[in-house]
Amino acid sequence: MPDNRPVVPPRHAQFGFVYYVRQMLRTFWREPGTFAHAGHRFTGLVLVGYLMAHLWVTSNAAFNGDRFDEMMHDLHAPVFIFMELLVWGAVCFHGLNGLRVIIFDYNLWLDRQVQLFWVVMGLTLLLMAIGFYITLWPEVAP
Amino acid sequence: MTGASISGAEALAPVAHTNPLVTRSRLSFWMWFLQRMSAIALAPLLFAHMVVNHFVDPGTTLTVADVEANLQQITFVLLDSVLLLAGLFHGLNGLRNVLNDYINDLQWWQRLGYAITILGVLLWLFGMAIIFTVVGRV
Repeated sequence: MPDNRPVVPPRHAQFGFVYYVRQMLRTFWREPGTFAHAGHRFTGLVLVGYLMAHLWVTSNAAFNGDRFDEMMHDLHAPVFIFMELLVWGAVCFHGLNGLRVIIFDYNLWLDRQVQLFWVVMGLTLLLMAIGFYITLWPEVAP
Repeated sequence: MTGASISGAEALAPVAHTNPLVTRSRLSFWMWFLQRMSAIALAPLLFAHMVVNHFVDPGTTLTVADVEANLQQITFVLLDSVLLLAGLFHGLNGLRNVLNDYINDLQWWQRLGYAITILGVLLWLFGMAIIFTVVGRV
């Protein structure tokens, strides 16, 4: 029989970011909604930052073409490829989880939130795997 | 009617508005609605953007010549313009929503709204300048 009693920490440890993260990880398998909320927020902030950097890099295409070509060459270093793949993962999770949130906003499937979360995670992993495969083995691209 | 079922705004209607932070403004509704609409627009557009720019020929490096060639097609100009507008609105409004969760002062909510609006307009002008500088150059 699963132990579903809430874990009650001592009073001095019940508030704050560390408690929040600890409780989120503790309840991940039975209540992944907290993780979905925090993950949606975190990936959203990451993507806003990426959008700003993207605008800055892309602006060189209009205002400084040589610098653009240099930057694109430099950004093909393995570390940046790796970070771009993480951004692709953030895009997939944020987009799919956002569609899940929109479904609940319209009062649909409210009793299937957890199941839909696992669907979102599965599709995220699938899209991430496809992106990784195409990027890391360029010869298979169409 | 076999059972009373209320949902959405009806369920919330009788609540007394004693807290100045709890307002029912039309602007809030439209920001919520446009956040959803921009999200639904972004999903296919961003997917197309990724496929066209990154997943076709992933081994090659994008150059200015490629960008100029792409922006000769009206499809790319439209795609980039709509992506810019929807992405900026969705991202900056989302940032505003996140920051509002940690602000408990109506005046600072308004100040943040003005600041984000100005930032968004400036970034939109910057992005449109990027697109149409490239379009006009060739």
